[in-house]
Amino acid sequence: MFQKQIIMRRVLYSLTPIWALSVWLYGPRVVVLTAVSLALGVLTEYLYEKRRNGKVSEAVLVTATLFALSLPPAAPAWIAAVGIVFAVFTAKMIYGGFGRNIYNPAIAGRLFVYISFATVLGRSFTPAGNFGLGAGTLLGRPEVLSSATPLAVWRSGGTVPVLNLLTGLRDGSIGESSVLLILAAAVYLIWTKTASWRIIVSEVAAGGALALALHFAGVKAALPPASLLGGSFLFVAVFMGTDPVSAPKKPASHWIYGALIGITAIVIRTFSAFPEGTSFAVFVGNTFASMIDDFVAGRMNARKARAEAKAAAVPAGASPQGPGDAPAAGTGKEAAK
Amino acid sequence: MKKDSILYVVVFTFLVCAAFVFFLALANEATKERVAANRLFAERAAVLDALKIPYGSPQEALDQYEKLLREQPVPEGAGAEKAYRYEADGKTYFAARVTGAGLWGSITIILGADSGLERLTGLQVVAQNETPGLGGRIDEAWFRDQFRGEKIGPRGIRIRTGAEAQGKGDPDPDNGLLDGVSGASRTSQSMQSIVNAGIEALRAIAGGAR
Amino acid sequence: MSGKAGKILKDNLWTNNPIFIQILGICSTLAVTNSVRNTLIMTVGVSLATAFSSLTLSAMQAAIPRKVRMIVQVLVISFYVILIDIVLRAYLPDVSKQLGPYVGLIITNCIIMGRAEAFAAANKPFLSFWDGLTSGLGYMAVLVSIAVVREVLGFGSLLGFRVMPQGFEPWTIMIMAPSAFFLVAFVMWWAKTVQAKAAVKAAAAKAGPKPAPAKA
Repeated sequence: MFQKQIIMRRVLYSLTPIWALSVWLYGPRVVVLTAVSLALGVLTEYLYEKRRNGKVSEAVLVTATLFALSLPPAAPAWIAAVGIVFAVFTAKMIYGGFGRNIYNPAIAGRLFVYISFATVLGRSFTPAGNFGLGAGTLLGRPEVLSSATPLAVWRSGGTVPVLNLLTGLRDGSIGESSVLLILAAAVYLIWTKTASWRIIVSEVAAGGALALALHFAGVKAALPPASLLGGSFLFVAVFMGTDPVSAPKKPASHWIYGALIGITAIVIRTFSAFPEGTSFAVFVGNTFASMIDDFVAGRMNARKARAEAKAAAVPAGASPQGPGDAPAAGTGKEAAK
Repeated sequence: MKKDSILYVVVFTFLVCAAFVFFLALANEATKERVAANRLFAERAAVLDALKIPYGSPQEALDQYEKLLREQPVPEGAGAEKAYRYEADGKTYFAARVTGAGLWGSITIILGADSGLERLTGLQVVAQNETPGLGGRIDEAWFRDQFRGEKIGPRGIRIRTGAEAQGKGDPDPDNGLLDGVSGASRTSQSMQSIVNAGIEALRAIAGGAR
Repeated sequence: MSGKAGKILKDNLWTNNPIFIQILGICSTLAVTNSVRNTLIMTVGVSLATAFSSLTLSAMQAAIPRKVRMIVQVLVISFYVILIDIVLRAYLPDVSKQLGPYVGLIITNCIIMGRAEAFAAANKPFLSFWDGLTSGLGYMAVLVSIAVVREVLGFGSLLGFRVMPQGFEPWTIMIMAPSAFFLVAFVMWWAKTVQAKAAVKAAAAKAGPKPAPAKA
């Protein structure tokens, strides 16, 4: 039933420790949300692919897992259901299925539910640890809610111990908790050449630089530097931004793309009414992905054209490059800029 | 005359414009009184509502207005366009008409409070150009009604926005906290500053009256 | 005559629908469709404005010089729109207040000018009136169906009456303009799929009586 996609399997392997930790943090709710999300995600893709005699991609497993991990722990299962069906159907299948979607489906689903059900999801954070016992109930509506997600704490002027951010012992969305596990996953994904290190590095560097600049420039709404370890900034950088389908294709574009996401995330997080800006940032990045590729390709062609022109101008000098394909007519203008 | 000659084009365009404008003017003239009456009723009813004075028919509203309300001079720099004074049971109430910037255009409200500025009596939105169905919902009953009897805090009132807003209305009149329109944060924020400006205006008006 | 009128009706409601085939009037689709009531008033306004301006322009057409054709069209259209605005202000002040600037914006609805230019300029007055009215109905059909989805999911109500159960959580995104974008896209997708299937069937039926081609 599934088409084999080794890259997607590696992402799943890298998510496993994060998921296991989240089960310890929030208990059976995580299992239910992941199960609902996986089942409906696969079902949606299966029903659509069946008409075209296609196979379900393993990418949908990654989408569903990432989507479930991006929810707050006590999110009602029906919200997970609505979100994953929207994500797979509207953001992926309509565009033609795996490899053809413009936007990362998990992000599209997450934004859909975050905009639609902001109130319910805002009230679905529970205290972390001990298999979710802190919430009072293991399933259903929790008795004890938590409003102490790290970003909220910083906004109200408190501090969050960095050690808790590293180990993941803090309240927040299911999967974003442990910085150490996310970093380990990042190393694994980069090592196996599954994820683009350029995107991760440029995203974290650009976002980090902007956050530091805002903080030290004394901007009132700016969060302390440690806020880069809280919220979903790293989780999104490692897992969502690097989605090979919705990211630009050329390695050089990755730098621009990552920086765009990092900067947008920090700007939204600092200045808007939304608590998190990372999903919007990836959405913005996805929107410009092919444009960035186009721009980079134009620059590369222009450079090549210039080199060739130089080689032609010096009659004795041998061209360092082969003849190559003729640059497009429009690139002369690019070079002139 | 040829249809494409300059003279014909000019004469034709002139006549057509004159004819259509004439009919529009006629329609405007015919409904002018009705529109004016509608406007007068809307304006007076808004003041009555803001001061929590009951009325039945439109005629009764006009009568009540004449009988109970006095226009109150607005002190220089108070920021209100018009002010009204109303006395009942030995207490004095004031209402002020205030305009401020909304998301798309300006929002005009009438805000009523007791003379000690302890509690609001009510809020009416007189004019707004906010997005229908989103920011435009500040004109709906659930939003207006939560201002009835709301306690005025030391820093005025606060309207919940963003993820906090529930779009249902805040039931507690003692917390100085009101519910914003969910999905319309900017309009809700504008309303908060307009209402707080209105409270300051009322303070100046009540101070000037003493 | 009646055959022609029937064809116009079918064209404007389905085969040449202003929204999902001509893709006109999309701005108002995004703006007003989060409440069924506003949508109904708006679409009735557009239908009447289109019908009467088509009627008037068609009747005047012999006298209009080509040079000022567009100016006269805009004049006639704005005449009717202002008339609608005056009537609303005088007799339905609440509605007028709620719709605010949207009534005036009917003038900019591309469907009205499109019909004036594409149909009324070359057809008889009553047929033009009928064409304008049915174009408005085609527009209304799509907008109202989108508005029903948006109001039910976004507010849990229909025409202001609560239809969803007590515990229903409203879908905020449905109140916002982005949802109209993908709902319009869904309508277009559905309509074009059905039309494409019908076309294939019609072609097959045509080919049917003839001997089947050798290639299976």
